[in-house]
Amino acid sequence: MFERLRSFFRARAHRHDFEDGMTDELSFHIEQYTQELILSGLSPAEAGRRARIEFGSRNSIEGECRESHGLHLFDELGRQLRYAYRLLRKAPGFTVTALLTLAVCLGANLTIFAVINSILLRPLPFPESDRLVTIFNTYPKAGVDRDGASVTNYYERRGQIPAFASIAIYSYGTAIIGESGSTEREQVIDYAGPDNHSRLTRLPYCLPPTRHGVGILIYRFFEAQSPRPPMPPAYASSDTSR
Amino acid sequence: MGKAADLLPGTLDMLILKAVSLRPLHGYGVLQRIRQISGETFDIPQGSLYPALYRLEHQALIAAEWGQSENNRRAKYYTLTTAGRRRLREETAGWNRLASGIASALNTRPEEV
Repeated sequence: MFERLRSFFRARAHRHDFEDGMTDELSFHIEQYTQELILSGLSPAEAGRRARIEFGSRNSIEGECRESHGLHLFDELGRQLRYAYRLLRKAPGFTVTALLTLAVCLGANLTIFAVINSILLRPLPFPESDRLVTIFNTYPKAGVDRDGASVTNYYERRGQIPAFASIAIYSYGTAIIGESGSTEREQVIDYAGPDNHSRLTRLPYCLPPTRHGVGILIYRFFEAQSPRPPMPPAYASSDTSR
Repeated sequence: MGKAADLLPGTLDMLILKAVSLRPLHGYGVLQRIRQISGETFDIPQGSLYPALYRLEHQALIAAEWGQSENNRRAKYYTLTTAGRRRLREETAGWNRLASGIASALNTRPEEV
């Protein structure tokens, strides 16, 4: 297999050498045969004629030689592409229409897929995720528009803001996952909450409260990205989570 | 050549490998050598020789190199590669098995059954 690929690429890269070599080789053959026929008593003209007839069609033999090196596929592809290009250039109206149709269809497909992907295939893992918002701390005087909240902020705010049905907190991090002694480090989202369990406990990966009264959960980032429900989560005590 | 036999399918490759194994040859030389070593039994269609040579070269069973012919012309010479030698050995063994099987079948006399 390897040799064939090498032979194919060599013939392809040195296509001129391949063609010239083939022409020379076949001409050499016919000349040799002509010489032999002349020696056997034929006139040079007759010998040449006989040699060419017995050799057969050079075109088809050369074609078969190219085929045995796998070159005919590329030749055919090139021919077809040139033909297609000429046809398209001859009918610009059709070409433009076809291209526009393709573009519109591709665009529509992409849009529809994006919508389906975000709504059906990979919705956020929360009920009524369209009502989910992210809140930031802002410090206008310090010129900081968006900053993260602290754990203390979270404890102060949960249950205190009537506009929110529930509040959760998350942070990105890495964690070592697996048996003790394991060295597998994964990117995780540390997630704590919510203050009342009525809404989020419907999720399969929301944990019962720990001794701190907060469900802490680490799940693999990649699983959270996938449309399938996450694997049963790994538990972690709250002091390792942030 | 008169009543030359047609080659059995698949045997041309084997004969080419054999011819080339004796000494490096150009295409025309392969044809002559096969004619010579087979006792002029076969008439090899000249047109089918080169596709076969190119196929064998493509499979790396023979290698090609440009050289000078006896009459000082540039000619492509073919030699057997290691893989080709192995293939020739396998094909020879397979062929001998086949030929001896057929020969013993065809030479059977009634009293031997």
